[in-house]
Parts: sequence; C-alpha cells; structure tokens
Amino acid sequence: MTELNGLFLTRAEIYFFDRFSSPGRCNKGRMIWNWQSGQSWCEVDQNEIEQEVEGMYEAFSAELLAYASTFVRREDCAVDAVQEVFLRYFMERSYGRLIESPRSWLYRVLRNYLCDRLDRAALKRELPGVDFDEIADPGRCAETAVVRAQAAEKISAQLSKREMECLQLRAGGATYQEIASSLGICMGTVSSLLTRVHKKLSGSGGEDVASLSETAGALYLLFAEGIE
Amino acid sequence: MPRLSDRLNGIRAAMHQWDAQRSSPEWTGEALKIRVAQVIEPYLGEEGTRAVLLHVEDNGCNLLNTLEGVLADFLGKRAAAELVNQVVDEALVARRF
Repeated sequence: MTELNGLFLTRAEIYFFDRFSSPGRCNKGRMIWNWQSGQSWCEVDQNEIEQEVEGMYEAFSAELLAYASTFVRREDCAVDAVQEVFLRYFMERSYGRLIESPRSWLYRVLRNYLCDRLDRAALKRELPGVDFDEIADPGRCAETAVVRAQAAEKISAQLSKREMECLQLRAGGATYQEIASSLGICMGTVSSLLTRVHKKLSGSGGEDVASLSETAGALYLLFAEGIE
Repeated sequence: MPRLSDRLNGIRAAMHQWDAQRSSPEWTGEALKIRVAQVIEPYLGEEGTRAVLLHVEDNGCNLLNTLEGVLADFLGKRAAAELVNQVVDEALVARRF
C-alpha cells in the first residue's frame, strides 16, 4: 500500500484512453497501475464492453453472416456461429484481453469455430444445385444460371482452399493485413495468393467484358449465395 | 434471416447470461486461477505459473492481458496469443454452461 496525499491506495487509475476510435478498432478502457505488483493493465467497465460488442455487431454481423453462410447451409447455424464469436469476444474483453484488430479477429475466430465445430464432410466445397423453380428474377434466365454454375464450378476447381479463402475475404472488403491476420499468414503470402488467383481467373476466362461478367456472376454464386 | 434488432437482442441476452454466471465462485478467485494454471503450467512450470497468476485480480479482469504479456516474453507474440487462445478455450469457453 502506498500513502499518497494522506490516502492509502493499492492501485490508481492513471488515465482514460480510447486507443482506437473507429468501430472496428475500439478497445476502450482505463489504465490501472497496481502499486504493489508494479503491473499495469487496462480495466474496462462491463457496460462499456457490452456497448463495444453491440457496436461491432451492428457494423460487422452482416458480413460475418455472409461469410459463415459460405461454410454452412443452414441459416440458423450461421447466425449461431456469429453469435458465438461475438460472445467469445465479449468474454475475452471481460478478462482483459486487448484485441488490436477486432474485424480480422472476428473473421479468424469465426473461421476456426466453423472448422472445429462442423463435420468435415459438411465443409466440403460443393456447389449448390440450380433450382430452376426458384429463379424469380426474370433477368436471371435458366441458361444464365447454368453458365454461372458451370463457371463457379470451374473456378472452384482451379483455386486452392487457401486461394479461395483469400479471395473470399478480399471480396468482402478485407485489407491485405486483415486477411493475413484472419488466416494466420504473412502479408507477402496474401499478396502471392491473390496474384495467383488473378492469373488463374484471367487465364480461365480472358479479360473481355463478357468473360469478366461471367466470372463476376460465378464469384457471386460462390460467395454471396453460399457454398454448401 | 432474423432482423438485426432480434439478433442484437439475442447476443445481448447471451452476454447478460454469461455475465450473471461469471460472478459465481467457480468463475472468480482461486477456482479460476486453478483452471488457468492447468493450461499454462506445462509451459511456465509451477513457480512461474504461481508468480504470473499472483498478479491477476480476483475477478479476472486483467487475466488475459497479464498472461499474454508474460508469455510473449518467453514464447514470442504469436505463440503467446495461441496459448492464450488455448486458455480461453479450455479454462473459460469449455466451462461456460
């Protein structure tokens, strides 16, 4: 215990800080210093953490759900997986962990969670069959759907698992650094993987507008509508 | 797909449920430290584990931060992060419900 201005203190709140201000980087807290141990740490009120999680949920849950949907067929499984990841974030923050890049942390934990939890067989990358009865949009004729499905199949066969994961995260708007952190690889590897992806996609379809449109449609089929 | 507000209510309820559970004796003080010690002892040894956990507050509010800082000195930042993940998995998440 230390005497300071007549007060006996075992610890002191040094200052408030808000390391990161954007919703993706928002670990807040008070810096605490313990006189006895000489240690310092960041203490955060539970309500603050709850608000932090809610803010992040609003900002990132939609894209994480889309990402989870590419692993699992059932919507409720994707919702549960995303909820589990945010709950884990809440737990870790409550036990004092500082998470420097929450967005990539969320992607990484979600991916690990899905891989651990789901049956390996369910994770096999298979393409959804085209259900012609469900094509409500008159602009999407059956022929286009088949062409897209075939192109998606071709892309899926050409790319390795890692390349596909990189492309998927990049398509979701992740930076190279976020992709590297999410997949546990270095940025140079991300760059190499994406370069390979670009070469493979260019090589398979060519660079004309029709081919690009076909590739874009196939990628949409792979990522937005889900791989089962 | 449930609406955002419904999903948000779901995560809010889960956080409150966990928070309520966290104040029980199993989640604080010695019980918490013993569970964590079981995970890190193979890496830090008995004395090292005791010394590290000595600085952890009873409510565990500085647990992961303290562990990660010390482990990073021994194992490097990346390995430390992995081990802290293991602590979370085995000592916290696995015992959740």
